[in-house]
Amino acid sequence: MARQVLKKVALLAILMGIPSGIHALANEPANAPALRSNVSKLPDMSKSGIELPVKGIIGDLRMSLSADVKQKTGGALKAPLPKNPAKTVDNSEKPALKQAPSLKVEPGKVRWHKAIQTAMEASSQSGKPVLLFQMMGRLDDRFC
Amino acid sequence: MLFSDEVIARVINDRFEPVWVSVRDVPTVTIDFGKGHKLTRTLHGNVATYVLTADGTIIDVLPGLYESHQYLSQLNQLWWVHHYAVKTPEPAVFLADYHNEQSKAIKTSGKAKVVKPFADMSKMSIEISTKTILRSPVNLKAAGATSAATAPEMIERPDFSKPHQLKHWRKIYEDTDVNEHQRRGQIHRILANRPNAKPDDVTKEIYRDVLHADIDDPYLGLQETLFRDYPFQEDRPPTPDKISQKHG
Repeated sequence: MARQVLKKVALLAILMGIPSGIHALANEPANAPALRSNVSKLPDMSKSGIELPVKGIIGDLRMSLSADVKQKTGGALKAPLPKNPAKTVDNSEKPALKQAPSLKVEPGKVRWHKAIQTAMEASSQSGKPVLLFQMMGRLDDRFC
Repeated sequence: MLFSDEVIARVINDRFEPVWVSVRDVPTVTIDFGKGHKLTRTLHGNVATYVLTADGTIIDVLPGLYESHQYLSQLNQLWWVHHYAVKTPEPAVFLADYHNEQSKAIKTSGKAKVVKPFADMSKMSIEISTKTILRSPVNLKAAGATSAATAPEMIERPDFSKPHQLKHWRKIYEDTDVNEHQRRGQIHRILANRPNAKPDDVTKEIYRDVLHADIDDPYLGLQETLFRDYPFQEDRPPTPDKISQKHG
């Protein structure tokens, strides 16, 4: 009798565990602390609270995500970077934005120069310092 | 989020020549639930804000994401550092001195010194130096500075569709504190030794050693973690040792 009860409890625990993992990855705020508690402690936690560190997430979920990891790392990460990414934020690319409106966003209300060289030339004229914002991904992408 | 803020955008537009660049793609994870139902999110999107002279020399770098008040305060101070640096006869000496002073201040007191504004340079009877332009922070709260310890209204779980709530997210304040008290010291040490550095000279070092994201590595230094238990041998990328042997 006791063994049957234990089996039921174990089955229930497995069933409860799978959906909670998916919800945590989906970044639902209500479940975020549950995922964070499983993330490895890093010496430098900056930004890890906002975007969970890859190592912690992958460490916990790598088996379930193996097919996706293969797809992502094999394609996207090997793609060559544009020489001048900021330059691509240009009127000439507006048609592309229309084709995939859900993936492109306005890069804030700042009037960005198209390239660092342009910003430096403007700086030598205006006397203002250059503000260079470096990032992984693109400021005009939904996922950046 | 930061650059959608009206005040931040206005300050940047008025006082700087802004440009953004991508150092590499951002890693994302997608879960395909089937029947067209997919969920995608980014995992690790580190950023850095550089303030540069017109010839590209780095004045200073703000590593990572900042809470909006601190970001504005820091940008304002870096504007003044630039203002002084370009007026000194030897900007490299001035910048090395500035970074050394700030590095020491963070190491000893946990806080960088505050840059004093002198709008009318002609009234400065003494030479511009870090001794004249830097002062110890006395009362940050009274001066309007915010941190995870002093911020008046922080939200634990913001509604991600509401930017004004995101601005007050506790995590942003906590990250700002780490950036200012830990990462900034590392930046000052790097730049103290290379006061003439351009972004290309230090970007990889900053991402690898300060932001802990090696942008030279296609797996951001996570290859061991990613592939340790991965079952399909044929998909595994060559290890760094094998790559160097092949090219050697």
